[in-house]
Parts: sequence; C-alpha cells; structure tokens
Amino acid sequence: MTITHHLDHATLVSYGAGTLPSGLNTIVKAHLEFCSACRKDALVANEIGGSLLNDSQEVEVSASSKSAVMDKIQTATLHRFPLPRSASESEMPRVLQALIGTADLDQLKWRKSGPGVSMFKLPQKSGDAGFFGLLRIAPGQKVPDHGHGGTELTLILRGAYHDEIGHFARGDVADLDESISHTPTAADEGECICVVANDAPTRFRSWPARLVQRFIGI
Amino acid sequence: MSQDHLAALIRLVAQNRDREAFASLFDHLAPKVKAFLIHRGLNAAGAEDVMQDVMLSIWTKASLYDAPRGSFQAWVFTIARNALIDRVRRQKPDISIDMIEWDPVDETEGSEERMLREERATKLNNAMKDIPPDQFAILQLAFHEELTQTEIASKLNVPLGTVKSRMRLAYAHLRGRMELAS
Ligand SMILES: [Zn+2]
Repeated sequence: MTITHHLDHATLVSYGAGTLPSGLNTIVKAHLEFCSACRKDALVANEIGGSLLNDSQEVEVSASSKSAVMDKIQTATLHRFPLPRSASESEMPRVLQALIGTADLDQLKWRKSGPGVSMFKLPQKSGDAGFFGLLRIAPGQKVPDHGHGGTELTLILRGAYHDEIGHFARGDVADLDESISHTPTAADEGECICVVANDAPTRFRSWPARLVQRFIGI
Repeated sequence: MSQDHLAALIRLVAQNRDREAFASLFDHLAPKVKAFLIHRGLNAAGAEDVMQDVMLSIWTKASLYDAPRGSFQAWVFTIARNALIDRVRRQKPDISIDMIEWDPVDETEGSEERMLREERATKLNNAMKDIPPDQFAILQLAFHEELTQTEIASKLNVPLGTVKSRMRLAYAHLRGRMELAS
C-alpha cells in the first residue's frame, strides 16, 4: 500500500492530547494501522505532552499515598512485553473490526441513501456531534459538492476517488477543515468504500447528511 | 532531575525491580502527575487516587518503556493520559499501546541511541520555553485543559483554521528543535 495523503499535524497534536471526538479518534487510529510515517509523527505529540507534564507545577502528595503505592508494588502483576502485531491482512482496520464485530465490508447492512451511494452508521460517544460511518460509492459516482463545518476525516478502505485536492486510494486519509469544499468522484474501475467522521457543529450539516438531503429531499 | 537520570532509574526498575529507584521516581513524578490530573479536571482526592494508579502502572509496565521509541517523560504522559481516559470516561485505555503494537522493538538499540532519546526530550523542554505565546497557549488548552480544537477556537474567539495553523506551527517548531543535531 502506497500512502500519499496523511494526517494533518494539528490532528495528531489533538490525538496525542486525547481530545479528538470519538469518530475522528477512531479514524486516526485506523490510519495509523496502515501508515508507519504517521505513527512516527504521532510520537512527537506524546513528546509534547511529556514536556508539558514535566513542566507542571507540583501539587503536594499525601504521605499515605506513597506508602500505599510502595505496598501495592509488592504484589502487583508485571506486564509482559506484547508481541508486535503484523500489519492487518484484512480490508478493515482492527479498530473498526472491534467496533463493528466483522472484518467483512460486504457483510454489513448497507442502507441506500441516494443514487449510487449507501451508508452504514457507526456508534460514537454520546454528546459527540457530527457524522461517523462508512460510505459506499458506486464506480464513477459523483458526490455533491460540499464544505465542512469543522474537521472531517475520510479514510479510504476500498477503491479510490478523486477530487479537487487529488487522488485518494486505499490507506489515504483526507484531513479537511471548514475552508475546503470538494466534489469527490469514485474511480470508474470499481466502487469506493471509505469511513468518514466529522465534528461539524450543529449549525452545519455533515456532508453525508446533506448528501441524503440533496438526493431524497428531507 | 535530568532526563538521563530519570531514564537510568526506570531501567533499574525494569531490570532489577529496584524499589529504591522506584521510590525516587515516585518523589519526582507523583507531584507532577497529580498536578496534571487536577488540570484535567479531577478534584484533589480523585487526582490522588488516579496518581496512585499511574505510579503503579509505571512499576508494572517498566519494561515497556523502551518500546514506543520516545523519552521517559513522554511515556509517563501517555500512562497518565490513558489512566485518566480509563477512569473518567470509562473507555478502554488504548493510546499508549497502539505504537508498540505496530512497531517492533529494535533489540539492537544501544545505550547511545537511548541517550539520544532523552537528549531530544531535553531539547524539546528548552524549545518549549521560546515558542510564541499564542502557540504555547493552544498546546496548554489541548493538553492541560483537555479542550478540542473547536472548543479552543470558541474559547479564544478565533476561527478553527487559526487553531489548526498554530498547532501545526508549534509542532513543526518543536520537532525541528528536537531533531536538531547537538
Ligand atoms: Zn499517514
């Protein structure tokens, strides 16, 4: 897999801080499964967190805390070194498999949401606004022009699409913000399946929602 | 305490289960970890409690410190962040693990490379002191106040794009300084 489109460093900073909304967080993890370059970049965010922690003003710790911890370490079970995992053979990243319960994209109950487009919604943490789910776009199908309210991440799992920004194939991630509007078109050679998340504030509509709106006129 | 000294202590814990070395780490880290947890919204009692979990994890996971290819302070940060996510949001802690799951540990790493990792952290700590205040503020809001990019944008009353570009600039500046040859 040759990856040409990567995560924005601002996204990796928020990922490192642990503050990405759940859908965006899952897509970052999925891309990291595919991409060793972004894994390396993500480590820098942990370093930033480490530096800020090191620089924290100190708060006094109760004396009983230390003796409690020194007691607990006598009996604590040590962690064994985990074996490194091999790269995923499956089309579906492990983090999505764990969420959905299957590795087979064709087994999902896709819901038709417009001409040539189906959708499969994924669960996100309560309180997180925006869309999180899979989109399946028929070969050559154009998705209506749309902008974004906040951040939107799209990770390609099967096939490819192209838009004003470039050509996106399996493993590529489009990391877009509100300033960008685009018209993705699935490649003619085959359908395109991608996982999409955004954190659009409610005054904006997520693009899959507007897509449905456009096609079926909600 | 220097980064090298801290790294030497955690190796004593990893290799010899050295309780004295661990006690020194406790004295140095516990007040910082507790402060971090209070920043992230825990009350004093909750922070005391989670701090104990973090220190215990440092003991039980000591042998994993070499895995993520980072500095000791970054490793402690990921443990504290994940303990917090675990406790407060009742989510599975997962972030520190993902790196070591995918990237095998380089068994051939010598003591020189190890020292290099801590040297980078020292350079980063120095670089952090002279990044522009508007960039530093955004890092603090993300890492200490635990705000999302959208929340930072509305708190500072700037467009989301400005938050992102300041984050990118801070990232590039700090990374550049970290990787600068000494
Ligand atoms: Zn990447």
